[in-house]
Amino acid sequence: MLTNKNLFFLIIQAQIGIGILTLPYVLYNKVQQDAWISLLIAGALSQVVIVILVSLSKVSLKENLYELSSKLLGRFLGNALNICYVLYFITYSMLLLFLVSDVIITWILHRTPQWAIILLILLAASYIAKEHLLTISKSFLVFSLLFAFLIVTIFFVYVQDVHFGRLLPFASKEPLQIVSSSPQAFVSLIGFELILFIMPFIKKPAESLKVLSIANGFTLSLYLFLLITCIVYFSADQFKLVNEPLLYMLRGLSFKYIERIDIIFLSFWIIPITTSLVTQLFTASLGVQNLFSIGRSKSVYIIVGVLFILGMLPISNFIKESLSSLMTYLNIIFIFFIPTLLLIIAKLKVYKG
Amino acid sequence: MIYLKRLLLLLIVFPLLSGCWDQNLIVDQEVMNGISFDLKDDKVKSTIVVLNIIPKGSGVFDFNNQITSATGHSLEETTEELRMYYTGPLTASKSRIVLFGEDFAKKDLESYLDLIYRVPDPYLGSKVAIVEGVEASKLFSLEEIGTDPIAFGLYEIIDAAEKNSTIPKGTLNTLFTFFNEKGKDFILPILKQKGENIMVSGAGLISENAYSGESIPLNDCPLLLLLMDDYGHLVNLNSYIDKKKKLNNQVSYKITKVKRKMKVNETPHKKPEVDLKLNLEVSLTQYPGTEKLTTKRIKELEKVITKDLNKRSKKIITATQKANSDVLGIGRTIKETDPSAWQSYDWRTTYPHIEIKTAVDVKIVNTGTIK
Amino acid sequence: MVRTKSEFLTTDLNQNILKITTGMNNTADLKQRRITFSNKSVILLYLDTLIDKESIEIHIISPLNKQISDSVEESLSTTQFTMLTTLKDISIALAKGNTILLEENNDKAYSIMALSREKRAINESLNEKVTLGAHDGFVENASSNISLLRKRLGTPEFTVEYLHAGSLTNVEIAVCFLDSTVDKDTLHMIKDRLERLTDQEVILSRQVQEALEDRPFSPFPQTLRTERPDRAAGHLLNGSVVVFLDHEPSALITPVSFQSFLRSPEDLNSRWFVNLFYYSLRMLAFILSVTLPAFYIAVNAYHAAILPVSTFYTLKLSVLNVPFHPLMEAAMMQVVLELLKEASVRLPSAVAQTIGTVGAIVIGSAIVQTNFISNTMVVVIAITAVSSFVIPIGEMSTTIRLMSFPLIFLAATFGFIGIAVGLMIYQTHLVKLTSSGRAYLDSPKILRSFKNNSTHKKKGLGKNAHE
Repeated sequence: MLTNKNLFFLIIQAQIGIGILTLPYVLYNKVQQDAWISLLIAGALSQVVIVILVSLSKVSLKENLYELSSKLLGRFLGNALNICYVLYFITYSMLLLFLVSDVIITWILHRTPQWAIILLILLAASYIAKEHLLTISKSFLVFSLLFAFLIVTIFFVYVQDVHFGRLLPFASKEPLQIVSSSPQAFVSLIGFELILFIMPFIKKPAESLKVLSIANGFTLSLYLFLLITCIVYFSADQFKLVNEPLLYMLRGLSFKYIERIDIIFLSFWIIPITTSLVTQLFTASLGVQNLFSIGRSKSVYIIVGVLFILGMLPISNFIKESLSSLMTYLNIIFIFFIPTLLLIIAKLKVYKG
Repeated sequence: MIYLKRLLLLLIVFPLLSGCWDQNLIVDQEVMNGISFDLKDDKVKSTIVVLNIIPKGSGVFDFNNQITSATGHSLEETTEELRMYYTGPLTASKSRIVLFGEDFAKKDLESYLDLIYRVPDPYLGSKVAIVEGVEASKLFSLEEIGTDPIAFGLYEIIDAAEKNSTIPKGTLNTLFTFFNEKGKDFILPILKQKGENIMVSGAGLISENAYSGESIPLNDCPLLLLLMDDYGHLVNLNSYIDKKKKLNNQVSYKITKVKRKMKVNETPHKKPEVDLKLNLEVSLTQYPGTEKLTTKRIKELEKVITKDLNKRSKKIITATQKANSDVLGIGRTIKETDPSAWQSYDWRTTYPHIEIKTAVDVKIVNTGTIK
Repeated sequence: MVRTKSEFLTTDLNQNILKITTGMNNTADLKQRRITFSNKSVILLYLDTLIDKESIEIHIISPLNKQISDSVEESLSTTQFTMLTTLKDISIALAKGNTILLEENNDKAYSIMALSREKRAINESLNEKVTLGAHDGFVENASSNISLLRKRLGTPEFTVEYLHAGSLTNVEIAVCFLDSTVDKDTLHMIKDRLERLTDQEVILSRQVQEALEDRPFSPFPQTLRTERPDRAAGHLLNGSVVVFLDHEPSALITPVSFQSFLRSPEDLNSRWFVNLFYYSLRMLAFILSVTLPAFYIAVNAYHAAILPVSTFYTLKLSVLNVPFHPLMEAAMMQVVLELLKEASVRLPSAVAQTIGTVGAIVIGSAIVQTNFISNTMVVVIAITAVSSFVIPIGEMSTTIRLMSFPLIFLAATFGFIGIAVGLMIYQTHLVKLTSSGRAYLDSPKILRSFKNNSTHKKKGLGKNAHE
């Protein structure tokens, strides 16, 4: 059974991943120095979603979403929804794999074929994902040491040339613009949807809302810290140019004993990215297990096989980009709208019955 | 069991399949330490210096510089040619110094240097300088500075100049930041060859990402950096005690505490006015004549220094305005504090004509080890 | 077991002797001694090679000769003996070094313990030396070993249970635990697993270890094999179970955590900051010996960009004329090192030192001078080896050294990314492992473990990993 500590690390590792690399760029291009306000709004939004998700999963503590959906929607509709969820997780994982392998190819391994990187990551991810949830969360706990390293490294940016004035003028953008760019930030905060699937494993379900909120707060403050550091570090037009601001910032940092911290950082950042993939694999495999009643480790292997085959497909950048913008909507649908709908149905059922 | 299977897979399949795609062994790498760009007959002339080390057994080694040049219409075109001179893959990951010839520096640097920022390989911590008087590539032919190979020597020279507050800290990375910073220009060190030696001879003012041709002379550089609020470890200045410039007539002082205040005032006629106040606390390092300085004398000295610094700072500001190089970042301050006003200016045409009032106030707090 | 009549002793002495000698396959070292005791013939049977003749003289023959009473039992009252009736029991007792006393007109045999006391004196263990702390070590005798533990834990809660394994080896396995600290489920599981051993011919403690481990295929040892009584006693206090195999000079401790492989009893015997320092040092040694060669290869083959420029040139200088790929260099150097180590273990200690010197100096410097292996690689592999030797438990030390190989391959293929993925898999594997149901890699209760009283009464630890 998962203790609060286990749950916390499970959630933050699910949340923090590849998003950290590109989020500052995406947000800054929309609302410039007010990006952090957008991020805060997204944080509040995700807090609302967390409340919804937790109350949905508390409808039945002994069942995960896949079991709950058939109960709420009937067998046919429920299974259809479950298939949708599994497909969603697989699509999400595939996109994640494409994004991470692209970043790695751009920054470090320029000539390594994409399939090799995807295979490497999938191997590690499947090895972790097939384990018991407690084992997964325990490894996530150890991996979280990386966040401490990241935070310490980022502090060194402040030793260099930063200009706090770049945060000014304060809140000068249209409020509507700020709010409308927050879904972009919200997408990088997701990961807490995991709670829908792991409620039966939690030791103290009553405290899960608290734990999730703390985890969300941690992720949000980490993102906020990074975003603000990026804003004060980059000049306005430069920020709009660099694809991965965090990596570029680290590229500019050089210490006496390590000249290129960005290479080390990105290489090891693959761990938090893989953990996000692991949670996706875990949830997807629960779905496959539920749908076809096969063992969970077997379902992990099946999904990994599917992902690897998908990863071998020659997919153009255009498709990747449209997939990633589609993913923004899919995320919001699957993490916000459908759970809300299910919660309403559940409440209505309780009300009727 | 699954663990064993995975181990086998990792051990056997990967190295066999792979052939290690991205391998770039340290032995093979040809590492450029210094890069210079000149403009010659409407073409870019790139010169690189690659340090070769020659082992002489049991830890003893010798080095020599392999210097090659190539010309072309773009940096990449020249690099393509340069690659042909070397025995292994050429990399800029350990470059120490990037030099611009005077003519090259007067072009829009950002558009030329795009290659460096677009590719992840080059090292962004390299120092950058403009070479005056000779072609930039000529400096490399000196081979050594002291006992350092040339590229390292140049790096050290600029590093020392930064510590002495002659020029602000700058690397390729900060250059990239300032290229894209609206309302703020920057300074690059100017190198000059004197005989067999190379020195930092002043601070070149950059305007619109190109060298303006104007520079601040060496002895005024620390004052400029004080005005910019971007000084190094050590800030030393001299002033003549009397107006006459004669032998042994200078008081020297070390700045111990700086208070800088910049205020931008709006005026009705669409031209901002800038008030720049600089309060300095100094400690004397040289005085002509070893004598006991009375309080009265110190007061007098303060007056002399204040007057001198005020005069000089006015001169510096005029120079920057002439060069149209907003090194103080006045434009940026306006942009940050009053965005609507910023929108209404065309800063490039406005800056040379705005009024910048500087007021330097000096207080001697220490006379060193002698009273 | 079907008891046929022939298996019991009869009252006929000669027939009995005949049966017993046939039962023992007429082995040549089965000796008889005939004495007369209150006008009855009494036969002593024993295996000449096993028993202590002096003790027979003192404890059996002289009391019988004194003729204190008519009954053998009363005469032997000062000596410990058991009564046997079946031939099978008698042959087993003989094989274990007991002396059998047969009496005329009696269908019972007396089995008297008179085992030769030829055993090694209690010395310090060579494999787990300490400078501070007790210098006794386990010997090849389970009861002596248990006595070493009993001396440390003078409590009735110290419980020993015996099992016998193997029809041919017929060896004793002793399970020791402290009744109040041990987790009953864990104990039950351990006994269950040992129970399965009884049909096996057990000679080596590795066999017991394999039976005790949750995942025998994992490269990491999940039972701690120690030769130090203080370490065993400490673990007993923490609720672990100590298993002795007779004739093996080591104790197997289970459940055990990964961290305890990095601790030496000496640490706990030191001030807290010394303790902390050595623990951190061993942690560092563990990390270094697993990752250092891989890191070096990744930097050499992929990420030279991260090196500061002076280090870069130093490195370049050292690898300049080496014809081999760093992966090959590392493999070659590791093999040379393992060869040297193996050679010095197999040779007598005086020669071993020479081999060490010759290996380190001659091979080491010559290999560099001939440009087969670069200077830096020699340094890297030497640091790796020395780091692995810092680990106090030999089994873990070897495991750790070998664990660097997969990482080396990954680093040679993917650079740092390969290392990151490899470490991720290692970490998950360690977290996944359990030792007798308890989590192998506990979330480190570092602060608590540095207080010296930490070895007392920690009942909370005896929990199941997957609760």
